[in-house]
Amino acid sequence: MEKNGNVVVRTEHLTKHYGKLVAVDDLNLEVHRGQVFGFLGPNGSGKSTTMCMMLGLIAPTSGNIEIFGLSVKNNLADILGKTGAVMESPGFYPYLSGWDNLKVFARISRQSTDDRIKEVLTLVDLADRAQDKFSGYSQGMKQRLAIACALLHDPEFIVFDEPTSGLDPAGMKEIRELIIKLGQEGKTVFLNSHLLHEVEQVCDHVAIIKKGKVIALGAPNDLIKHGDSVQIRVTDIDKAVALLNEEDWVSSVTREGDLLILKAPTERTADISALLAKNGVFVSEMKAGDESLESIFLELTEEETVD
Amino acid sequence: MIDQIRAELFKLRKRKMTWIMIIVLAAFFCLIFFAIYGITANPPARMPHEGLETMRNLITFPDAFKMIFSTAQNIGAILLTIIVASSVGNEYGWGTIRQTLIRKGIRYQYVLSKLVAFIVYALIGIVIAFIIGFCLALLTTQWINGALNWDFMTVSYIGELFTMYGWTFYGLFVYILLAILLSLVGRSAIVGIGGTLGYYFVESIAISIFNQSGGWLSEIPNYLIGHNISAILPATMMQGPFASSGALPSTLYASIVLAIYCVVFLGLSLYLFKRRDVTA
Repeated sequence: MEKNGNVVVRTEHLTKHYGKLVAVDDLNLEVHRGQVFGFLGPNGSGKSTTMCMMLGLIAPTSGNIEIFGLSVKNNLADILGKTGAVMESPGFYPYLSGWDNLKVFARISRQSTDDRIKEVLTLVDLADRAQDKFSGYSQGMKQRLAIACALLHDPEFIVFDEPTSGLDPAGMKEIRELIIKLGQEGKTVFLNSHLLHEVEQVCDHVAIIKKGKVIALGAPNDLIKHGDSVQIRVTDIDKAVALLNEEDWVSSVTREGDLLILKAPTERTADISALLAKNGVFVSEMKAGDESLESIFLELTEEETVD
Repeated sequence: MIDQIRAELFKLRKRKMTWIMIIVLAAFFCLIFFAIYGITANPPARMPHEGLETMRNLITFPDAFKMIFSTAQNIGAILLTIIVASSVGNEYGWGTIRQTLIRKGIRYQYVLSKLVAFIVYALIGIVIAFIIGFCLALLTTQWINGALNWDFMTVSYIGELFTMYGWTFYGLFVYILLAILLSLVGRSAIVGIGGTLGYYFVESIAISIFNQSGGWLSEIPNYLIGHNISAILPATMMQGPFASSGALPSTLYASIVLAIYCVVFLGLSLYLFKRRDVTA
């Protein structure tokens, strides 16, 4: 039985070694019921290994994972009965139709009927192509079938690994909306995605992982640093860079084409304007802004690399 | 577990390769029966009478039954290896192994449900081979003897047929387990097919060499799969790679040796599959 009804996933000192390589290093995470949890990290950071350990595909070297308060090591079948997963490369039988593929997996999980298969195929907009062979599906259709398969047994906890991979913009939007809807229905979602913009839109909690360690954790709003970024367009960009770099209150100046991005308090926009004007550089556009999750992600992971 | 077995049988039934293998089996039977009949109808001038008589017996009742089971065993081992290894190994290539394990997670059930499905397939395959061979033997017996005589078909002979059916399956079962093990070890169909068929043919050559040798070398075939399968199979001229020229062990001894192989192959498959990470 669940020890803590609110925590769906808990990892404690989770570690995975492949020989000398440490893929996941003492990972401690908690995902609460109803959360749409984003799991971010550069390639090789241990995201997929962590997900595979949650699903019992990979055995941890040490540490524990509990899902619904049950140990993955000892209660995997019970956990998977309430868990759905969409893996990065969806695996289906190429010689079977979409319908027959779902039928095979429905039989294995014993909790799905033909009506449910029809329902999930309609949900992912594949009902019309259900009798076509999987080998003839486009990447987007394969991905949608994987989502249908994950939802077959109406799981409480759903793991998504790059769910919008291979989808066109309209398909990506549909999947994002589906994930948001699942969260609103009270499902717990664990989303692994490289598309930071997507995570920012969909997730209410985010963990950023680097070299198997969590380096940032919290709500996207808490992670984003508010009011410390100013974007300007000026008449003489080189002179402006030189002038701004001399000021103590400007922590950095980055050029992006003809745009300058300053890390500086937004309340000093008037000082920026005055300083540049006094030196014969005129501002044609100025915008104060927050940092996106993407810039936070890049900043954190790059800092780690420099260290 | 029952549902998982049903899912495995459903996959086998829906797969084209399954039906192609049955067609190959039927074609092979036709080829063998009609080729032998062709030789007996127009025998080479220098063919001794005894040789001709032996060939006629192979495709006429009652000896045709031995021929049917022996052929089912020889060609069946090859065809089953291909089906088994490709079914197990391709799960890695297609990524369906992950899709299956994230739904159930009980790994021994995954291996056992596949094994049961292959057992059912093999048992049905032998029945199909029997029916095809029986129909062909009806024709060839009619053509050679002019009439069919069923006097030999006593209750005890029918019992013998069931025994032959059982031994034929037992011989195939060892190769099913070997193909599963090698496909799981190599995580691929190629390793399973290549390894099992490689062993099948290399072992038959090795047995012939060992049988020609003296001393302890001549004892080695007693511990090999093919030699022991030869001991439990009905003997015919068509015993392909299983044909062993040396003295065969007793049926009891052969059964025990093959049982040990089965236990080792199955045990290793379950152990390795449970221990290893599934990352494909």
